[in-house]
Amino acid sequence: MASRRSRYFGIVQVLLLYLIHFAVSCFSWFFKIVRRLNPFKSSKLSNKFYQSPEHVALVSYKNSLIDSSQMREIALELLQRGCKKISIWDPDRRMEKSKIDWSELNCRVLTPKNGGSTVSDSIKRMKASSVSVREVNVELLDHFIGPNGEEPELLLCCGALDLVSTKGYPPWALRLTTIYPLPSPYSKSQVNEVLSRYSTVSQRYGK
Amino acid sequence: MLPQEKEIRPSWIGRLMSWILRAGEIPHHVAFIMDGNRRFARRSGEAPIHGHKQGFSKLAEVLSWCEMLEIPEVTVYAFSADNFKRPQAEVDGLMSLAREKFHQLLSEQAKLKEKGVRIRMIGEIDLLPSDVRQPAAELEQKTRDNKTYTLNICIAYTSRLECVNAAKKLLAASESSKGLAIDEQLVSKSMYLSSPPQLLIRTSGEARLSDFLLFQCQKAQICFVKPFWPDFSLYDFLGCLLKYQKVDPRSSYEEPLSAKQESYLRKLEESRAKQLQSYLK
Repeated sequence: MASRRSRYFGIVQVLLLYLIHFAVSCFSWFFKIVRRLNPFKSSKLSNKFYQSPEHVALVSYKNSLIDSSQMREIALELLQRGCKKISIWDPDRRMEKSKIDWSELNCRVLTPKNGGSTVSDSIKRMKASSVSVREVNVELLDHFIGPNGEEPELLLCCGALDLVSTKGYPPWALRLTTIYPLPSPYSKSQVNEVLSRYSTVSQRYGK
Repeated sequence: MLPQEKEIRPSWIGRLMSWILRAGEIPHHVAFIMDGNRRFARRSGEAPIHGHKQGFSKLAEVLSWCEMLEIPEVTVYAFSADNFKRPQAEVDGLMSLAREKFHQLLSEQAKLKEKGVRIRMIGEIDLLPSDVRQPAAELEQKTRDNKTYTLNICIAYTSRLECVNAAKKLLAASESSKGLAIDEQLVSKSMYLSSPPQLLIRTSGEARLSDFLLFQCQKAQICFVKPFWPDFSLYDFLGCLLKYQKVDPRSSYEEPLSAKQESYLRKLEESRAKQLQSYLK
């Protein structure tokens, strides 16, 4: 009797959970439509002058609708808006396998093969260089991690909706990086919006 | 999770929503960046320490929500090593608050044991004043056998310093133990905190990690919410969990460790226990 009751409660619990998720999805979809129908917000942002970050990183999400050609458009848009360097974290190697010449766009593509093992490789290089334990500090480790430790000011998670995940982007580099989602499907105004939003960020560095 | 003077019971809607959400996937390790205490205090025209005191009360409340949602491990960013750069009066106030709370928890060991709460100190404990370091070490040592819940308090912590410490340990171990394979998995396990959170929540609207759990949160879902930490509500928390449940399932496969790697990690645990013992003298 008790187990039957608990089974019914379990079924009710799961049904209520699905109902809540469905209601939240409907509300989010409705809210997105309302935002898209409001042109005034976009035009106000495009008129605002802002300083773009120099180095922007993009994270490619496996199941998102943002494919390699759209990533290329995002990179071009960022470069046109004043960004000087783009790093693309490509954990599933989708960008690497595309036919796009990323170096022509001043973009570097990082994969787990060429950017994933930064700290363990640095420790091996320190050992090979006979570095003593006493000498190891933040600056030395930063030096041995090298270019993969360059900190982007902004990281855009291409395909993320509400929550973001860095998907294994070299973590040493993300100490103070601002992280925003760039939901799919991609539209040009999104880059303008995130850069405008980024321009309002202030860093306190722990103080 | 933490014994409270006055239990704050969530509303019936909050308890009902929590019960419903438990039917779906609940992360078993959640991390919090408790940001916004000073701005909260400034908004009310109070001194920063008032915000930090409100922040501690909020922490106790949030831990009770985690207990209600059956989340067994929680990590909080209590004090960054960079926060020592703040005005001395504020740092002294924070150290005084930490000392008071650690002593209070030590006096309530029986309740912690009854609830099965283990408390761990994560960070450069050496940087803390001795009158904060000693009760912190004692609290960790006396709760180490509690198994139901784990509260990791990141104090005098930054991820880069944690990484430097791990690099030093691995460099020393590779010199004494030939053939020790150093890979990213072993680096992660050499950190002060080796268990990765599934969900990280940062309050106050700032969208960055600020040198917190950079290595442990590589695969975590990160939720940035607008309210300041003392304003963080159960509904904000449940909203984060709802979003978490919508994300694709995550795989957490790990390569098995070699015998040398396991031996190295055992020695690391022993040296940590000895270090804690030394702080008690």
